[in-house]
Amino acid sequence: MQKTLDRIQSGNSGTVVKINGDAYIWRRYLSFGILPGTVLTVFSHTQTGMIVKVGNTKLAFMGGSSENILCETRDTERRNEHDRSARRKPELRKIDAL
Amino acid sequence: MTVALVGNPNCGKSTLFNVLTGSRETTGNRAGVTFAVKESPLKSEAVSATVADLPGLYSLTSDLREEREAKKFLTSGRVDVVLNIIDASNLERGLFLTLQLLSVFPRVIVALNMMDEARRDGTVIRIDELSRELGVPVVPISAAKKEGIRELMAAISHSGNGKKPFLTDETCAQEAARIAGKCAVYPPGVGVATDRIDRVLCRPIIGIPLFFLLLFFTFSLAFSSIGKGVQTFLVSLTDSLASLCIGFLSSRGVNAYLLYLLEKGVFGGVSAVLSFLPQTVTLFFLLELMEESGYTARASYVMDRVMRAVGLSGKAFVPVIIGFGCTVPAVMACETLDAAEHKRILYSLPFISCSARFPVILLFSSLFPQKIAPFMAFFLYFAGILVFILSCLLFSRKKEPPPSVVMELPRFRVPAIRNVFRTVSREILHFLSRSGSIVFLSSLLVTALTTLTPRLTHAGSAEESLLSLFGKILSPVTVPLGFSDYRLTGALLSGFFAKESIVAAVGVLFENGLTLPTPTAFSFSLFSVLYLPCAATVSAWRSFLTRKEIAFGVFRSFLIAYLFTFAVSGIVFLF
Ligand SMILES: Nc1nc2c(ncn2[C@@H]2O[C@H](COP(=O)(O)OP(=O)(O)OP(=O)(O)O)[C@@H](O)[C@H]2O)c(=O)[nH]1
Ligand SMILES: [Mg+2]
Repeated sequence: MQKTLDRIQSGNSGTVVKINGDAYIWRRYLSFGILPGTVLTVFSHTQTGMIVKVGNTKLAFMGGSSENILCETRDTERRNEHDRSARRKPELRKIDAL
Repeated sequence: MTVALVGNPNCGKSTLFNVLTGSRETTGNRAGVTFAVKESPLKSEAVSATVADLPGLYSLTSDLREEREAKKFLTSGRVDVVLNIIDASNLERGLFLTLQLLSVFPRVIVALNMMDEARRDGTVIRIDELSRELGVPVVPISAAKKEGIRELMAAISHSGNGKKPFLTDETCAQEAARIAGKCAVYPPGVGVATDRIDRVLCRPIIGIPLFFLLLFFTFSLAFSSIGKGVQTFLVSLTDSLASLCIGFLSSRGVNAYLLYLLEKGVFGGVSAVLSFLPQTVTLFFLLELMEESGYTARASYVMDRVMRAVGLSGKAFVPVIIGFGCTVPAVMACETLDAAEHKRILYSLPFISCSARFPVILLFSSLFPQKIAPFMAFFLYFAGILVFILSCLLFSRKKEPPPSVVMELPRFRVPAIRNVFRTVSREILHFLSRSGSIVFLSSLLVTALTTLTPRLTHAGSAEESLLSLFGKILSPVTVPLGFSDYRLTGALLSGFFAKESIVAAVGVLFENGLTLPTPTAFSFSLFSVLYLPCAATVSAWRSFLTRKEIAFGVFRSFLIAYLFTFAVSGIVFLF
């Protein structure tokens, strides 16, 4: 599923599909290592904005700047959700294994 | 030969520059600390070269405002060797720029910095493999620990690689990822400690109160009894030095008027300012700890929402924090901001209480009854923030909405003690040199103005003096604020050169000690911390504003400070 970066939940990842905006914006994101194909992991959402990890770099997106980035998330969202539920409920994992 | 230090922001260029040249350039754990090119000779007997520290650069093809200075220098034709610094913990992103540099410059050396941190993390980097892939020397170093510097110097004298073919941005990114994947192995868990801290600090509900708590702590520490103890010691030291000097000079038959100027102007004024050195040192020390640890960038992020309410982005909070130390570097730091924010932040920054206002606040708060003195000092200090907000709000939000920004959050670091002390000692030197130059001259001028008549003859009494005449001219302006004493208006005049000169001038003009009625002390002290940006700030504005805009900015500051003081004093006096 494709969604803009700001709509990806904390702890989930997305692969950049498209950067909306002119060449200036495109280059600006490129500077931070963000281009189509880059995997972004959302570290946290706060009232101020969001923090995203790109490799070993941590970036703070403020004032709606994350709305320009369109990501493919389906697989990672599902996997992460699964991971999280597995982390939270070890007893369920045991049942799965059986 | 000119060696340019080129690399991503915050990879340690300035730290290395200081090691290579013995300079004292500012360092800090966030992107965008250096905003102008600095040059200095290489400290080496074997190699004769000039080293240039450039502002951080993410890529040669991007068009970021903060990268322009670096690009201008790189394209000036003056660069013989590019010393490309890469943060070892972020090889892939560093290599993106390296590959671009290799296609433009024939002599490139790569310095892989922060190797101490990489070792601690358990990161493995195959240096030889990396050097083979890039076709240039790669030297592992730690600028903070001064490791690998000799090897780096040797590499500088033997470099030469020839240009590589030009790559498009996409190919560059792919190639950087391939090389990084091949040459570096990062263990899982790198940056976990930073993540843990960020989970707490980056929540506005914790981060915002924490920032104000830190500020309050800094304020309290600087104003605490420890500071006062050292201050008393400094006062007695300068007093005995003064009497020793004056005694010596009068025995040598030096002109009595000159001696008077020296005693009043230099020892009366300058020493009054110098005695506030401990408070200034404390303030800079704590601000530097914030910078070096990586806290400043977090504070900007959590304050984004608050800043947006006044029409600025969170990034503009960096100059605000710097402004608590000194307004001039704060103004210069606006270089990294969006041009749309410039006027709003530039016109408002001078209201933030810089370290030069510490002496003024301390001196005047001591005039209040003891019970309310600490509260008054606190109010005078934080009034700057209130007026800063007010000044920002006076701009239309619709016309220039705050830009959306992306900012790098650096890894938390235990502050490098060497860097902290270097910066603090530089600030002390700066404080001392200001006291020895601007404050010295302005207190000399004030002393001269009190002893000369408008016809430049010796004034029989203070009433006949030039300063008294200025005071009378200005009194219609200051009377509504509750003060008309020519000595106070005279002190305000000198404050334009440097805020701490107000303390020096008061020391000179109130020979029998400063005593003022509480209301006068309140309105004068409030007005004097706010009224005008100092001369150095006005000069720093020139990088951003036209002459007309500067003149407007000065007038605007005065008007806002005037109306604010008038309103607040009025309310306070009513009760
Ligand atoms: N552990 C460690 N820290 C370092 C090293 N070199 C620099 N630092 C720290 O990294 C941070 C950034 O250093 P700077 O020298 O200001 O970096 P810069 O590249 O000049 O940054 P900008 O001017 O903002 O582009 C500071 O907090 C330094 O103390 C190193 O070798 N090891
Ligand atoms: Mg620097």
